[in-house]
Amino acid sequence: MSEPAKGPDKVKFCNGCGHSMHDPSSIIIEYWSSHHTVYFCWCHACGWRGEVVEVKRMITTETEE
Amino acid sequence: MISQEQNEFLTQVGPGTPLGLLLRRYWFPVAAASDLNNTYTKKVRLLGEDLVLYRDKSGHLGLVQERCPHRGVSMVHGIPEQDGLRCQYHGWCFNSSGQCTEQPNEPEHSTFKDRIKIAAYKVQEMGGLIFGYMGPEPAPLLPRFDGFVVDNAIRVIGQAVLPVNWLQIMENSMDPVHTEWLHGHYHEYITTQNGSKQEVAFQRKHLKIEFDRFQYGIVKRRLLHGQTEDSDDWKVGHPVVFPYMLAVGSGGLGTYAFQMRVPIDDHHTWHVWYNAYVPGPDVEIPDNLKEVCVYEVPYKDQNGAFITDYIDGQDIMCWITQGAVADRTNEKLGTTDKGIILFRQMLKEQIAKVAKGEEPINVFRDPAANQFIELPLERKKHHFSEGFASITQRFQTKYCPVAQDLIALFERVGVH
Repeated sequence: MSEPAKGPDKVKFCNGCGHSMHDPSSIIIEYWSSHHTVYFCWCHACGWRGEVVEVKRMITTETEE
Repeated sequence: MISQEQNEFLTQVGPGTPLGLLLRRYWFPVAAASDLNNTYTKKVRLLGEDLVLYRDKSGHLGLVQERCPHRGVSMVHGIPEQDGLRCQYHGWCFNSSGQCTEQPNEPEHSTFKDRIKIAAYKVQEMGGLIFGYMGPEPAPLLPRFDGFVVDNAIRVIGQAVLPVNWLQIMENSMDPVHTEWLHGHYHEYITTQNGSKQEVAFQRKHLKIEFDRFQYGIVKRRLLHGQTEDSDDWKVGHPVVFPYMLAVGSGGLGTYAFQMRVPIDDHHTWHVWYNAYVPGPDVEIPDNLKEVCVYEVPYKDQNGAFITDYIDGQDIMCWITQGAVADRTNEKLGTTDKGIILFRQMLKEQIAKVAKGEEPINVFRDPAANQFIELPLERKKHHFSEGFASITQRFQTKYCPVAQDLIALFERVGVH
């Protein structure tokens, strides 16, 4: 069994077009926002730019912004 | 955090690398014009290529590969001719297009020279600097950004060769919050240690920062504690001119200040601080300030310790302690690092455009749009609120030989 993906390797495909995010022409940058781990993604194939947030703890009530 | 592969992708500048291909679409400074005042040649290394810059006997500039293709000697020791540079070893002569025009000891009717061409790049002079272009033809126009071409200006150029990759220096410019700590609290700490405690405007806390893409790159804006959203710091900000220049200063009357990060190779950067001071349209510039002043910016003392009691020295200390190429596979970016994320993404996007055969951002082809390119600059920057004299003596300009003359002139004409 292969080891679980770590860091930027956790995002494998573009949310916009499904292209591999491991293509070196695209980029994934991991950063932290409070207790969230966020993966900033930009896909060179379709130009989609967005963020994937890893959910470690489900919050059931909405907090005020 | 990015992968090792991505870190290499974003930092390697040599021929054939994706980033190298992007950077070759831009003009870079290669020398101060005065570097060729007392000599005809200068060794230059740019984007991982060894070159020789020369001025021939006709006064024309050339930028060609350093090594003669014949036996590989350095033509930094070459002989200037009416049209080109002659290798000192066997007299082969090359014009500014790189064509070999003479091989004095080959048979008289030999066509050998016609088959010898060396790498040669376009060069142009502007504002006291010589710029080179290493990309594909047709070469774009050399951008006439305001500070380079503004009239009636006093120009000074500080320089240092730093043992670091260019990207970590650019990322520093996408990180506004560091100013509060490094140039604010750390500055107070260091000056307290040496007995000259200085609490400075840089210490003011950032409430928010924003980054906007614009025609020439990215504008960054900050709102500091105690400011309203009507402040110039928030409403106007100042730009990172893609891909290698930070523009600060006061714009218009006052100071234009460019910081250019010229990649020598993957592990070295020529840092150029280019300042143009405009005392006013009716002010006669004194004779001793008419020549462009070029000077070295030191960052280590005689014991080899970093000099950290001035703003740029504090930055340089940080850049160098990150390592020759910052290890981004281990970094822990937070929300204030979004400017760095944006800059990396923009690099990738522009690299992809070049790979597709498209023109990247900030390349100029229309002469009418390239007469005087005005950059957005906050006029009342809080960080400079201590005034011209204080700021001039806390930046690298403290090492400029004419700094005190500048301060005296600006005090006399009332520009702050």
